[in-house]
Order: sequence, then C-alpha cells, then structure tokens
Amino acid sequence: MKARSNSQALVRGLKGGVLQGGENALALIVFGLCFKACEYIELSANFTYGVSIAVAIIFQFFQLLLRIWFIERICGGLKFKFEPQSMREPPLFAELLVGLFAKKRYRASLLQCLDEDFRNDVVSGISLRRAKWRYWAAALNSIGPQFWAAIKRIGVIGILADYVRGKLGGA
Amino acid sequence: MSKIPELTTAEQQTLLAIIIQHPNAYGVSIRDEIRKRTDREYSFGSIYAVLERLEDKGLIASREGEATAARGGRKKQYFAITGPGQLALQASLRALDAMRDGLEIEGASA
Repeated sequence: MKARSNSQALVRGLKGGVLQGGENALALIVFGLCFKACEYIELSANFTYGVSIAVAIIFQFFQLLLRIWFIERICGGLKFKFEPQSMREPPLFAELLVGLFAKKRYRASLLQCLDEDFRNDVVSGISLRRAKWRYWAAALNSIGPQFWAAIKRIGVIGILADYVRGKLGGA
Repeated sequence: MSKIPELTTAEQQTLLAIIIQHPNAYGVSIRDEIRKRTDREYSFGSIYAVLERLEDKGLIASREGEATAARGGRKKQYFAITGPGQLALQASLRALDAMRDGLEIEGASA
C-alpha cells in the first residue's frame, strides 16, 4: 500500500514537472536578492533584470531536480518499474461510444466483457497499443448491432419514412 | 397451450453454449464456446442482442454474479436456460433433425 502511494507520488512529481507555490515563492525571493545584489554592485538596469531572471530560472530548475531526487529517494527501489494504472485501462472514448448505443439492461455487462477481453490481451503479453486497437475493433464491432437495435427502438426509420412520405405527398 | 417460439441459428448456438457453460455462462464464456465449436466469431454486441431477444421471450434468465479482479471489480451477469427455453431448443433441433433425416448432402469438396 505504501509502495503504491509512493509510486503515485513519484508519478505526480515527475509528470507534473511544474513548480509548486512554495517553490515559486522561493524563486521570487532569489530573484529579489539577486536584483538587490546587482543594484549594489551598480550593474546597468537591463543587465540587472537579465541576470536576476536567469538566476531565478536556474534556481527553479534546481528546485525541480531536488524534488524529483527527493521523491525517488522516498520511493526507494521502485525506479519506474510500475506502470500507471490509467495506461492499462481500455480506451475511454471507445467505452463511451459503446455505452451510448448499448441498451441500459446489458450496458454494464457488455462493457465488462470488452474490458475482460482487454485485460486478457494485456496479461497474455500483447503490447498495450495492440490491445487498445483490439479493444477499439471489438467495440466498433459491438456497436453495429446495438446501433441498429437503438435505431429500431427509437423508431428513426419510421420517422424518416413518415417524413419522406409526407414530402412525396403520400397519404 | 402456448406456441413454442422458433429459433434462429444464432439463438440455437447461444442456448447450446449456455447449457454447456452452465453455471458459468456469461458474455465472454458464451462467445468463446461458440468460437471454439463453430469457428464463428460473434461480437459482444451480437451476443447481447441475441441474449436480449432470448430473455424477452422468456427462454433464458439472468442473474448477477460476483465481482472478480479480472473484470476490474465489476460484476458478471450469468445466464441460464429456462424450461420454455429447453422446450424451444428441443423443438428447434428436432425440426432440424427431421429435415436432414435420410439426407446425404453432396458437394463437401466444393
């Protein structure tokens, strides 16, 4: 459980790559100190700004490195061996499409079956990319009959037929 | 006496797969059983469309099963054939047998 939370912290730290509020405040203080130092040694105004900004950016970069190093240290032997859970999930958009056209009664079961196939593919050693392609293919294949059933259910064909008949002046 | 519903090939195969897989008949196992025995690859959409028809006719019944890790913690939906389902399947297969009785179909090499 601890390893998982540590790994999640590592992902957040590495994926984010964005400095947090406290770190930005520190960089601002460094910028101010540098600015004052440049003024003290009587550098030109442009030079003072340039040097201060450069120092603040370098300081931020080192803060980020320090954070990554710190998180890695907390994570111990994990060293990126894990794969984020979200990457092993089936494609969301495909799920949404299936969910849209499937009848409510079997929607969950249909999605679960597709999900089980996907997980079996991943476990059997198929690459994640290929497993996702297979999921898409199965999802689109499944949408056909469900889509047709939805059309029949809604009665779109009847509505269209009535419209055409009305336009042609039929009774 | 109520009329026994007629079954399509897909419905026959699905009912047979449900009987074979009982009590573990759910979407994936039904699809796999049909594929294993007939080399026919049905999509889950087709399988569930057939299951829905069968359940509407009262030929099968469904129940919610346990959640497993392989299914992302979601629950399985199991299917079982009902009494009228068995009667309909028997009648359907008997009709098919009666039609092919004494018949030798040529052109196997075609």
